[in-house]
Amino acid sequence: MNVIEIKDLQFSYDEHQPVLKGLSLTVKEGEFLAVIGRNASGKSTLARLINGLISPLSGEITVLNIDARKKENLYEIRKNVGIVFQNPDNQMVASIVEDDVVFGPENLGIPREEIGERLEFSLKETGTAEFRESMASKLSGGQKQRVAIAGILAIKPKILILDESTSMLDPRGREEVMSVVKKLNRKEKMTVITITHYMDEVVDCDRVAVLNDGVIVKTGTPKEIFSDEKLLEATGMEPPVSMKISLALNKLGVNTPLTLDKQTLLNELLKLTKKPE
Amino acid sequence: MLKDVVFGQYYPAKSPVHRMDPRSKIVLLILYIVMIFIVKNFWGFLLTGGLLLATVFLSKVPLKSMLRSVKAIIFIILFTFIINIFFHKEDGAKILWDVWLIRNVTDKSLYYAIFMALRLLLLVLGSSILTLTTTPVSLTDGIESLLKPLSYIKFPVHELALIMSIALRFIPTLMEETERIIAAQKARGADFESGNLFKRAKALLPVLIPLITSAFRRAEELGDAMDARCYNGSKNRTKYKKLKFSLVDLFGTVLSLTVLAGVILCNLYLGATI
Ligand SMILES: Nc1ncnc2c1ncn2[C@@H]1O[C@H](COP(=O)(O)OP(=O)(O)OP(=O)(O)O)[C@@H](O)[C@H]1O
Ligand SMILES: [Mg+2]
Repeated sequence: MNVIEIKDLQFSYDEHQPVLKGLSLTVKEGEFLAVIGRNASGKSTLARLINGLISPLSGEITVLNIDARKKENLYEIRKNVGIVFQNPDNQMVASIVEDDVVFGPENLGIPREEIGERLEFSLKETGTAEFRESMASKLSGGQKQRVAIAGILAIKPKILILDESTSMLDPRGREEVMSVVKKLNRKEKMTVITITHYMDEVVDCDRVAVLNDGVIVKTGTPKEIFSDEKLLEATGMEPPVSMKISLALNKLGVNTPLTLDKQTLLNELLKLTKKPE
Repeated sequence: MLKDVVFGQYYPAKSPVHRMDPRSKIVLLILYIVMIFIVKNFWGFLLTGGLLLATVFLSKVPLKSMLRSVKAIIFIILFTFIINIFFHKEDGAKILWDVWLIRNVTDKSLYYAIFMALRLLLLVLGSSILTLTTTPVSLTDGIESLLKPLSYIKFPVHELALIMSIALRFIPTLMEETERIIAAQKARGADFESGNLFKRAKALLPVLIPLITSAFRRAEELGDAMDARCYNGSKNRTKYKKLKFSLVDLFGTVLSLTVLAGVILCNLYLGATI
């Protein structure tokens, strides 16, 4: 089943500069989709459109069979689509972790007992229970983003969008956040859309969509995308290191399978060097 | 330096003071401030000071955190002390010191200056107990609940409370950012320490402008994040934390009222010295 269906979407902030120019994309239930594309290609705009923070000029957006263009549906859409933004400092409403996590369910008018259950669940899933009473300002970037995810989880959305949520974090924080998200995708069957510039995060995704100049130019598995050199060049993408090496080897006439996995590449290289002369 | 300001600095701990209903804490703090201002002799300070010490002790807030709040306003305390010691005039005062620059120090002015400094000190310590033991959200929940009657005359109580809690939330963030901008400007050779007041104020301009721009950007992003989390005003909103007047609140109220009675008795029977 498709949880999101976007057809021929057009959008611009001002008339002279269209940002999305007829974008189409479908997202399947439970999948882990990466959206990549160069700066200012319209990735954040797409995320904001899906969640109804802005509305399109023309085209269709359907989220869980609900028309996202209608004002009266916004609340229903936002209940089902959570967004974690880039800057962890600008999405927390309350000073204390717990108080922030319950903000969403409070807005939805959920009864107190159930908010309590959702709070415990969200803290546990994101591994933030140990600092539930801390000031959010005292946490590390990775911890703050996990709290932000907890705040979204408490709303119980079916779809989670990460808009460069790891871009302000150090490698360790990035690892923390991504492992939480992967677990949610696997265990809770949550549909995840991650917008990112880190190709290493893209490698494990089910599917990748490349956004360029206001349209999705290609979707496919990470392997399909990263072995398409023409596409990468046209959209200014750098493949992950292991793909770069295996592509380069193939160009040199050394026959290695194209791979995104560092270990596989290493094994292949070892095999090559061990060849008896 | 800026971090010493204790506004919105919550100290997490499990204590009876932390457990108290924020509404009773706010009301009792107001009562405490009234007490400090009606105290007329040092016996009264002994009582209010005792109440303060007992509260600090019960709250498990380390003295260090308490002293930080004093550090932030130590200049104001010293300033009033010095002003009072030189300029407080009273009939029949005995001159203690009147030599060279330091003139006109009388027994009465010394007494008065100490009295006023103590008053300020007790005021600051008492108020910081409230912010140290109450999370910003429960503080604003308390204010919201106390101001509830005003919503009948269409006063936006919920919005006011939310604005306050967001402001408290952003204080540490903006403090950090200010320090970062100052450091960056210093690295480029900006001078914040020398020159007259006017020059220094001017030097702060390149700090304030990026700070304000960024505050606007933050506000915009926060607005989006709140929308995305289904914020829809106070309509149909529930509160997770319920405010409840419990036994600790009763105890605190009784204790404070007892001290109030003590202060009044001291004023009446032990002489008013101020
Ligand atoms: N609020 C806004 N008002 C006007 N123009 C905007 C606004 N937000 C974005 N834009 C413009 O729309 C275009 C697409 O922006 P968008 O933020 O969607 O790109 P992005 O792919 O998310 O980029 P990045 O990788 O830098 O996050 C950019 O040219 C940007 O300048
Ligand atoms: Mg973006």
